[in-house]
Amino acid sequence: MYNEKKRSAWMKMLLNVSGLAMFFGIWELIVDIGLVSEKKLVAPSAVFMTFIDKLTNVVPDGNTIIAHTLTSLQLVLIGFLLSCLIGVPLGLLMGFFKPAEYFFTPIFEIVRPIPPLAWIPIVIVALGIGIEAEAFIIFVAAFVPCVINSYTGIQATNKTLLDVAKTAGATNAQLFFKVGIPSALPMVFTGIKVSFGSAWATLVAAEMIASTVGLGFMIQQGRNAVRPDIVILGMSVIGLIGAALTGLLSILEKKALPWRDLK
Amino acid sequence: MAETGCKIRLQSVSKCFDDKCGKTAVLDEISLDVYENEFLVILGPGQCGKSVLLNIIADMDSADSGTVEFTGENNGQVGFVFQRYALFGWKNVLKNVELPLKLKGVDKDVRRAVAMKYIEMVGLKGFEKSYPAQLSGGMKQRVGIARAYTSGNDIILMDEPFGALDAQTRYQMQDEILKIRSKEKKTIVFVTNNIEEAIYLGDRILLLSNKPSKVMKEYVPDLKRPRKNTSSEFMRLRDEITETMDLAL
Repeated sequence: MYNEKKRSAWMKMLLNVSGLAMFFGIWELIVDIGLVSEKKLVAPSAVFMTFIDKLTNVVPDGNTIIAHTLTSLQLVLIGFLLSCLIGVPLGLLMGFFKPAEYFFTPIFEIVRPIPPLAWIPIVIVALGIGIEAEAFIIFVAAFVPCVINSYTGIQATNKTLLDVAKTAGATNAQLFFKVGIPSALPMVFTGIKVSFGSAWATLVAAEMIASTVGLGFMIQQGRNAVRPDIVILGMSVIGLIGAALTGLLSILEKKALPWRDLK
Repeated sequence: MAETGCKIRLQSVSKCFDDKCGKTAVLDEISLDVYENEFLVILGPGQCGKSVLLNIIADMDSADSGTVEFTGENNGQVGFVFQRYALFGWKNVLKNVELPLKLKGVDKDVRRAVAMKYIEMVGLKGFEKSYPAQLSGGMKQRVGIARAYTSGNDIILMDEPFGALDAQTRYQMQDEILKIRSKEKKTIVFVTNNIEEAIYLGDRILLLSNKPSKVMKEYVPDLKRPRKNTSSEFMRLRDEITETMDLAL
């Protein structure tokens, strides 16, 4: 039994690694054998060299890769955390208390389909050009999944569990905090993960608002300077950090909800 | 029987449900008394509304007409054992059991002590830190019973508590509940659709008809405990109830 588990863990790791190796191998190969011009696509090895170079070199976009990454991270985290802070409680309230649901649903349903990019002009007018406006665009993108998942999660609270608490004399607030929220937590976490994905994916769009630093800005500059290696480096860093942070959220989820994996 | 007084009195309780085919009457003018410290079994065919009746007594549902009256000091507070256990998956056994006291704002030390007492009584000592997902069906229902007793209420309502268990575990749990009852006197209202279970457990059995349910008949099994389901008196009573039940269908 134990050995089988160990073997399947190895198997998983092996497949993970070979999937990655194949992806980068083919990519490297089609550039090396000249299937695609190096002006259009650079090999992963060249991207890695650019990465090493960009650790210290500020040409052509005015900042090192570290500075770009930190700025982008800060921007995304502000927008993302704000959306969790507002979206999760709002979704929970809407899902648990009917008056809140009736009050907020119409406005939420109208705001929901508006794409984050459509907000850019009005946000620039309202908030000016700067981190506030950029963070707002990310906030809008991350907000919707937070609300929807928290809402759906708490609505699915087992009615019998509510009855258990009611027969024990629970108040409405106790029902909300002690029964509703814990039952909703798995869905809330799903929402938070989806939110983070949306936030991070909206980064490049948000940095279209007159940024002078950030990964999205670096990609734009790389494009203007016809440096595909810089464009791909920016994309790769966004992909890697996104994956790493999503992984971190999954670990946090496991720690916060230890009862979920029991059997 | 030491039925010293009436504990709960139901008078002409009726209930209808709205569904696709219009209104369906579920309970039809049900009147009954529950006596102090008795083990009352409410027996009826599946879907006859027994659970609805229990929910109305527990104030989780409301009657369309009729009254539920609690006499004495009890103001309607009951312990409830649910068919599907209804445990909180994110709480361990101890926290599940002490929940009724926690909601009442009882001090941590006090509620821990009470909860531990009942966890021991249902035979779950050593499992306080386990989560419901790690327990078998029988063990889950032991947690459910411990929780109902921890509430401190002198009335315990049980809604087909062993309905989801396999036959073997079911027999074990029936003995368990009698053992618990011999240690601590409570007024128990136990709903089941199983005739043998009713005869094995009940001081008194009320037989309900199919929907709309009425109280058809009352039985007071005059059988020595521990009852044996192979004894001739047991089987005679079982046949009698089976016949009456068949007539009602």
